[in-house]
Amino acid sequence: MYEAPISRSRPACIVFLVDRSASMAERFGADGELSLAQGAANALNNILFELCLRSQKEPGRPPRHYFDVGVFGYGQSAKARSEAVEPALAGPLQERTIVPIPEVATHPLAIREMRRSEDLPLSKMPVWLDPVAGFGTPMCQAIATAGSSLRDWVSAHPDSFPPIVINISDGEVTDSPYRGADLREWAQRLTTLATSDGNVLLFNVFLSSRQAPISFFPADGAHLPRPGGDLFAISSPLPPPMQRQAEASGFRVADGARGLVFNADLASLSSFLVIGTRLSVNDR
Amino acid sequence: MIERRTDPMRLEMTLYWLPKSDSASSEFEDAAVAAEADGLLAVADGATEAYDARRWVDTLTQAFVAAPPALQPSAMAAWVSSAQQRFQNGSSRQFASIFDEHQALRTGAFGTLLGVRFTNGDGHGWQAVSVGDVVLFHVRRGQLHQAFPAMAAADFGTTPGLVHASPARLDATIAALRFGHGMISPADVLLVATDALAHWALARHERRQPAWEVLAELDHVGFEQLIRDLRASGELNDDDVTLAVVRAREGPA
Repeated sequence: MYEAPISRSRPACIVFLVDRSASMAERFGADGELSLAQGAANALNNILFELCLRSQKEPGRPPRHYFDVGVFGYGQSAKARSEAVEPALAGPLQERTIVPIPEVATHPLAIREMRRSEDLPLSKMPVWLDPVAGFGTPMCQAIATAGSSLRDWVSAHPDSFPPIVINISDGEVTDSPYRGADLREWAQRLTTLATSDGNVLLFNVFLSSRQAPISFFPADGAHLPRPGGDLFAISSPLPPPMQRQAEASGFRVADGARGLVFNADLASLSSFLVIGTRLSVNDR
Repeated sequence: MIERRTDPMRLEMTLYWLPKSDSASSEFEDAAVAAEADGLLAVADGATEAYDARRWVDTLTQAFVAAPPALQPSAMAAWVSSAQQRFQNGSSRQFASIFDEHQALRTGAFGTLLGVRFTNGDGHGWQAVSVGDVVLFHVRRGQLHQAFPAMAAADFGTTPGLVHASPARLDATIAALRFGHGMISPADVLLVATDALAHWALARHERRQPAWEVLAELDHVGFEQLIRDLRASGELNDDDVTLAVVRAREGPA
């Protein structure tokens, strides 16, 4: 399980849920330059770019369709002064829930001079998301929305690597219960969806504006301050192939480790996104 | 023409290849060149994670046959450097997209290579250079006489040595070079296979199931059928596959 190689006939699907609540306007660290929303947007732009690059195999040809991608914002709408759960890609993709990576590559919001990381020089990079922050944290509705989109996807891709949903948030859920079900039930419904290679994976990143101990891939949620216990409970166990990826990246991963990083800073957010989306492409 | 100073023997080389099942022939990222008259054979496999790998493995295999290096470290270093230069000279300075630009500069092309030179000094023999997990199987009377590089089925799937197209990675490539040699008797068969098929053959061999006769006796139709059957049964990874079969026959060329 969780070993299906990625190819054009069996693409993978990765869904990002990004918190756009008011508290995301706080800064990373006391003297941080970036808000949590800016840091999350940068990290998502980086990982979308990375997925495009992993799919770019031949000069002059578009990226291959190895990935379908969904990006949903929850909290402040990017289109109106109201709270919403909505697809977060822009332009021609703004109403689309799941988008093939070649289309993502074709429709960035802008091309900007940026650094992919602090040790790299400025270079032109596509960006797909700008930071947004306001209103509450409708995380239940976000997970429900992801589930609705993925139900059709798993039916259409029964033998693909199962979808990975990565939820990036800094706060406590404000819409539980939603339609009669609480956060754990929505997460359970989402992760009941499956392909022949395994159930949908739900991973969580809890961002912290304070300098607090970072818990990476915890195997026990009891010691985590709120809302760590809830996030631990809804995070999928890390499948063995991903455990090996995490260990190869220098993390100690205990048995029972969950796909969660608690009190993440910018660097750990980026690391988590890379490990959580590093799938084996086998399509030449 | 192979120089002969011992009993007349000729080498017959046949190449078989098949792309991954849902890939077009134009996307095939193995490469193989056999120059029977010159006693040269090169097989290369573009890495899955690489960018522009097809052009790189074509460059390597054609260069091995057109300008064969002496099979020792310093000569191979110069040869790889020359191939890198040829590849870089053929690279476009204009990128079609920002993704092309980043992939060309960040990831680049790399793959595995096995080159063989057949010799006729004190008897007929082969000399080979290897980087990575393209494997030469020397088969005698239906049994595995020698595998080069020496590998077990469990060794596949780990990170193989790679020949990089970037001059900045020349040292890593040189460090991954392996050299081997052997003597050839009439009726011997040498099989050179890229990783998926090499892995299958070694796994069969380790389970004491027939592998070498199966591969040595293939024709083109039989090769395609075997690969399709093995993929369908899950015995073979669905990957690009190349097999070179070199048969030693008694008698003049």
